[in-house]
Amino acid sequence: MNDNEAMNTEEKELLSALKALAREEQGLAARPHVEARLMRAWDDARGTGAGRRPSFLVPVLKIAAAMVVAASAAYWWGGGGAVPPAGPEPGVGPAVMTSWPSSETLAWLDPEPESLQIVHVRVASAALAAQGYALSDPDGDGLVDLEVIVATDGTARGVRVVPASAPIY
Amino acid sequence: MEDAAEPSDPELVERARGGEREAFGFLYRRHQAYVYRFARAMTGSSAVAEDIVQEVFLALMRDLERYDATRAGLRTYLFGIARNLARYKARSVRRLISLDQVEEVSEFEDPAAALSASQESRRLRRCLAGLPARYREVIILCDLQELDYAATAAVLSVPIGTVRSRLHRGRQMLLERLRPRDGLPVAKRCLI
Repeated sequence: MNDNEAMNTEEKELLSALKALAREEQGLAARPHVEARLMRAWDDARGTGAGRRPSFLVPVLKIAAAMVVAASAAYWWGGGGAVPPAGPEPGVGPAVMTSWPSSETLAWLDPEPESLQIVHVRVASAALAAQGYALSDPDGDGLVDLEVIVATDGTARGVRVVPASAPIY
Repeated sequence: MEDAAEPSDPELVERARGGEREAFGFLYRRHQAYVYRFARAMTGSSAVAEDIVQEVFLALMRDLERYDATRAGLRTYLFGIARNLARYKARSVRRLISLDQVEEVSEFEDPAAALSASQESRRLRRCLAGLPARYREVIILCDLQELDYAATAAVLSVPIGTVRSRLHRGRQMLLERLRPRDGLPVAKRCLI
């Protein structure tokens, strides 16, 4: 047997061994968590899908914004004359109101003002901008601090922007 | 191989482009195991292979519009992405493998006979992992994944002639590494 023939035989055996190796590995696959992660990424990228969790904050903020606008208008039309308990105008930056909310405002917001609670939340300014609420980000950390007045029925009755140093209730 | 009753890759890609979540999931389930096995053979690590699978399909998700079914089959396209990732990641993975972790194996006079058992498959895998990437990838694609020369050439972006010559050279190098030599254990020789 010359070298060339010997090499051919060896090569055939090698190919056979490689095929056996391929057969051994036939059942190997990535574990299910990889697919789960990918599909979550799909949902996040497309903004839809069964795996997407509903955001509690977005509807709360929308309702709060609507309520604040309505409260401001009603307060002015009703002759109250005081500055309404709204947050700052978009782009102006956080405003600190020393008596927010006032007892009159609380009474106006809910028939049972003592049941209202203030919740301090910190959200990404980009997430708010995506919902149409462009707020300035004075700290430059991409986060905005908000205080939300929440009633016992879970809806927000008022919202304002506060500095990050504001107390957390 | 796709079932005749199942939707084709181009059809699924089109549906995924339209935002159909299930179509993307179907594509993943159809191809992920091939990408995983290729990545695992290239890097020698199951964990890294899973990372590569995830990154490959994230890239597909991101660039669904860029995939052109007239230029290459989807699996070929995915292998191309996986190959680039594997080559990049393999460098860092290899630094983490020390000789202490390498299991000693017995020597065989005849390298062909030595390849018959499962233990020898491990040795073969180890020797394959020790080949330079340009030879390793062509053996993995042609001999383990059973791609034809044209598809392999498309994955590697080289002419078919280059695939042939690298495959021949790679097999010779692999055989060389499987032969006993100088009393040095094969397992260690494969890592030199």
